This record gives sequence, structure tokens and C-alpha cells, in this order.
Amino acid sequence: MALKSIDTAPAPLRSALTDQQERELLARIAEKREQAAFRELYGIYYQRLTRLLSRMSMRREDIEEIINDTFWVVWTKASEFRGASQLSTWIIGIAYRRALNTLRRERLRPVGSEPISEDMISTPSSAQGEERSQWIQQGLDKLPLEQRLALELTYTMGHSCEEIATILSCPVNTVKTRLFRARETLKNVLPALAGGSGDFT
Amino acid sequence: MSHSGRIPDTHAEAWALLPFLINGRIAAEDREWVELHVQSCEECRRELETQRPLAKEMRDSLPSYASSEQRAFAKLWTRIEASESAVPADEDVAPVRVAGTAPRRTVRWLAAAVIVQAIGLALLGVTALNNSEELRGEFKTVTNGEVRPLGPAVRLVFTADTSMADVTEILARHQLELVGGPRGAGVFTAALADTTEEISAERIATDLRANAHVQFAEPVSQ
Ligand SMILES: [Zn+2]
Repeated sequence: MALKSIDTAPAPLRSALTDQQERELLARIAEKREQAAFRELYGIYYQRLTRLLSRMSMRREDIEEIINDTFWVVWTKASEFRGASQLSTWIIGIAYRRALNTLRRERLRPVGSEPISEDMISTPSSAQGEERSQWIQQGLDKLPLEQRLALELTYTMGHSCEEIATILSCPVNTVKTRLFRARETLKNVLPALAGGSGDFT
Repeated sequence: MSHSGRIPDTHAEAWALLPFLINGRIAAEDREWVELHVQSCEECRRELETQRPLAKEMRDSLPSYASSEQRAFAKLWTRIEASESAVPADEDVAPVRVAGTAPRRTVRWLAAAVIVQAIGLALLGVTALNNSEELRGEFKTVTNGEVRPLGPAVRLVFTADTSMADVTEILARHQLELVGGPRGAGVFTAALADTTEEISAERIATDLRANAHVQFAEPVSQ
């Protein structure tokens, strides 16, 4: 695979809806307690949160619980969202804080079930893709959680620097620093990336 | 090129913004000068060539749980239905309402239970608990003397196989005491025994849910 052939920005995993449209869904939830709107919003975030949380090395059952706890908050607090930030940063921020709490709690207990379970479906379409994906995952696993998340929110979820700062409750410059360190570390642990040889393995 | 703002054109600043050039989310006022810098900076161009495939790989390589979304939502909705239909907030711990559960609420509870069953969970295990003489005797006084708890409180439903000893053990472990219930569908209200503890109702509910004997656990809004 030639690296130089890829010069278009990958379409990030972003909502097909604009922030305004998502806010309209939230308004229907807040004012009319509309299940259909709630279901739609849930569907928009389910996959994105799953991805983010699995990057945080959460266990399968914890991921679902955190997503549902997050949307429990969305359902019960829909009318309290004041809209200073984007709806997405509010929702993802809730999930992030819940995940941190869960991780903290789990550090206090013995290691339980595997973070990966049998109903996990990988998306790579080929064996080669699978290999590359594992290779990248191994590199990402070496990053501290905050750096991994910053990279994930940027590259996979397509957020702006300011949005990431809101989600992670940190200054914009901290986001930049984390990304900077993540990029440097990855180049060290995945030399093929820095080599630019185009050979991932 | 009418851009009149700062044009820092420093390599370090551009370098820090490259990820957002890649994901297309760079601020409009930065895009112009960063792109200009990249044109003349070999190092930044190489970095872009390194980072773009990384971005693509990260986006493509993640696991997807799409198949379980429907089931996960059903679970959440059951939870919402259960909490909203079983105990309307204001009537929650009002003693007058406790004795009789309105038929409508029971029906909605049953609907919730059917959903639970349909998605493969055990049916709400309330019958065994309610039929137990021992439990009845134990909880009657609680029901009658119900007061609004001062500290964090939760509503919970135990599974069918829960014994009195299990209930006692669960309550002790979480430092809870029963302050209400059982309601029509076996909903108990429990409050933190020591209200000086710094723990939220949400946290208690989350911890309770981890217990195999707890079918539902929801924080009571104060
Ligand atoms: Zn440069």
C-alpha cells in the first residue's frame, strides 16, 4: 500500500446530522418525551461511543452500561442542556467521565473478563487489513490514555481541537500537547509509520 | 489572500495543527496560513504523509458493535419505562400511595417485563419475593412507616432467586437500609444508612446493578 496515494482526508466518523438537527432531536425528547427522537439520537451515538470506549480498553459489558448510563442522563436531563457547547461534546463528555469512573473503580478489583468479547465484529475487509489494524492497535496500546483519546477524537471521530478540549475538560493547548506526544511516541513504536516506506508490516 | 490576522507561520504552530488539517476541522482562520506553511516546509509535508494513513487506519480498524445496538437500546428503554411507570417522582415515598399500586402502572410494568423477557433477560423476579411470608412480615412495617429518605436513595428490584439472606447481605454491603416497598412490581426503596457518607445515588445504583441479584437499580431524585 502506497502512502502517497492517500492524500484525501478520511471521512471521519461524524454524525450525519448537524448540531442543529441533533438539538432538534433533543428538544423533542425534552418537550414531548418522544421515544422515536430518543432512539434516533441513541443510534447516532451508539457506534461512536462504542469505538471511543473500546479505545479506552473498556470491557464489553462496561461499554454498554456506560452508553446506557449516558443516555439515561440524556433522557432525564434533556431539558437542562443549555447549549453553550455542541450537543456532541456534551454527550461524549458524559460518557468519557463515566468511563473514567468505571476505570478507576475497576483498578480496585481483580482483573475480570477480557476487554474483547466474541460478539465484537472487526470491520477490516481483508486479512491484510486485519493485520494492519492489529499493528496499529498495538502501537496505540502503548500510549497513555489521554493521548490515545486525543488521537481517537481527532482522527476517528473528527472533532476540532476546541471540541476535544470541551469533551476532555482541558485547555486547548493541552489537547495539542497530547496529540504532539502521541504522534512522536507512535513514530517510535511503529517505525514503519515514520519511515514512510508505505509498508505497514 | 485577504487574511489580515496574525500569520505566525511558525513551524511549531503549524505542526501542532496538522491533525486538524487532516480531519478537516482546522479553524478557518488557521487553514490558510497552515496550508501555506506546509507548501514550503518539507518536514510538515512528510508529517502529513505519515499521519494521513494513520488517521485512515484508526478510522477503519475499530471494532463495531452495531449488532448489539438494538438489544442495548431495548435494555435502556426498559429501564426508563420501569423507573417512570413504577414510581412517579412525587408519589415515590408518600405513605398514602404505597398500599395500592394503580392498575395502569402495573400494566406498564408488565409491558416492561415482557420486553425484558423478549431480550433474553430473566423475567422480573418479583413473584417469589412477594409470596414469601417471611419477606412480607419483614417489609410490612417498612412500608407502613415509610419516610422520605434524607440521603441518597435508590429503587431496586431483586431477581426471583433472591433469598432474605441475600437481601440482607446486599443491603449491608452497600450500607443501605430499606425505607419503602415492596411496591406492585416488587420495587423497594433503599437509602444510605449513614447519610454522612459522600456517595451519590447514581453511584449506589451503578454498584447495585453489578450484583446478580439486582434486576433493576435506579437513583431516586432528591
Ligand atoms: Zn513545518
